[in-house]
Amino acid sequence: MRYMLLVAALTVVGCGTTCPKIKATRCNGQLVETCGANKKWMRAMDCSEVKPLKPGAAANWTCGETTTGHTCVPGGVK
Amino acid sequence: MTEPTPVVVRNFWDFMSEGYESDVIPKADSELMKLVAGFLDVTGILDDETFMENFTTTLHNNIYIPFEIGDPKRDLWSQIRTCVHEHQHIEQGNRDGWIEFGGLYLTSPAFRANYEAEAYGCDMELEFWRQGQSFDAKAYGQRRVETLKNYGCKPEHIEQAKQTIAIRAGVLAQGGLENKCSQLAVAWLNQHAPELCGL
Repeated sequence: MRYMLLVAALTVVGCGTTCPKIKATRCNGQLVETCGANKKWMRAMDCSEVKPLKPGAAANWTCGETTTGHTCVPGGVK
Repeated sequence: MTEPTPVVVRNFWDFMSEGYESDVIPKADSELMKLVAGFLDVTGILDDETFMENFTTTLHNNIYIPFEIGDPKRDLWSQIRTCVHEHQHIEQGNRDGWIEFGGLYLTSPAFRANYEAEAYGCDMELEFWRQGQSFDAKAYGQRRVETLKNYGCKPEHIEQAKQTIAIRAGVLAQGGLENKCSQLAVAWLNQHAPELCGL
């Protein structure tokens, strides 16, 4: 139990690299990441996992930057 | 709008539980949940009655529910949505590893808000499928994350979660679905209960 708590504590301390400003966004490969309130980068979405909700929607998506920040944009090549 | 039948709700839970090898446990029967409820009550986080009667809780692959699946006295569509939300937490544990997921969720309100924002993303995605294009998914999702104040999260964590919801809502509006459990759910519902779809 003590070992598990230690691992959990180390995980929390070590997880997520530091980011500059809360709510900043970036692409980390195909991951869209946002800067959390603890100033750690956090996974928001994995664009390689996006699937079309209905026929006609894009099948492939990629992480990209728009006027509102980083997000998954249709048309990526897998 | 067509309502799901109790049979559809039960079959849906069976499908998701089988896929994730989850066990569904009545919350009222769980000594562990009573213990957690007592702790939350004593620490002032949440009163025990609210926790036991209104909150579904997932620990590892055990889902503790405060209702009977398919009971028409409890909104049937919300039972489907709850099923997806809770299984997304199991997806998170499987994806990130249970020690990392559990450690971050329990000790960091920022990471907890982020994990919940993803699961609330399922609520938003399912509701969009149900209600159709005119549905304001972003507003709905951002209202849902207000619940995080009951999870030991502060306004800055809720703001962070709202941003994640906004990103997800933008992708959803363009027809993209990212959460694994939403994808599974929509595929099953399209096949077995297409009459519920508003798209």
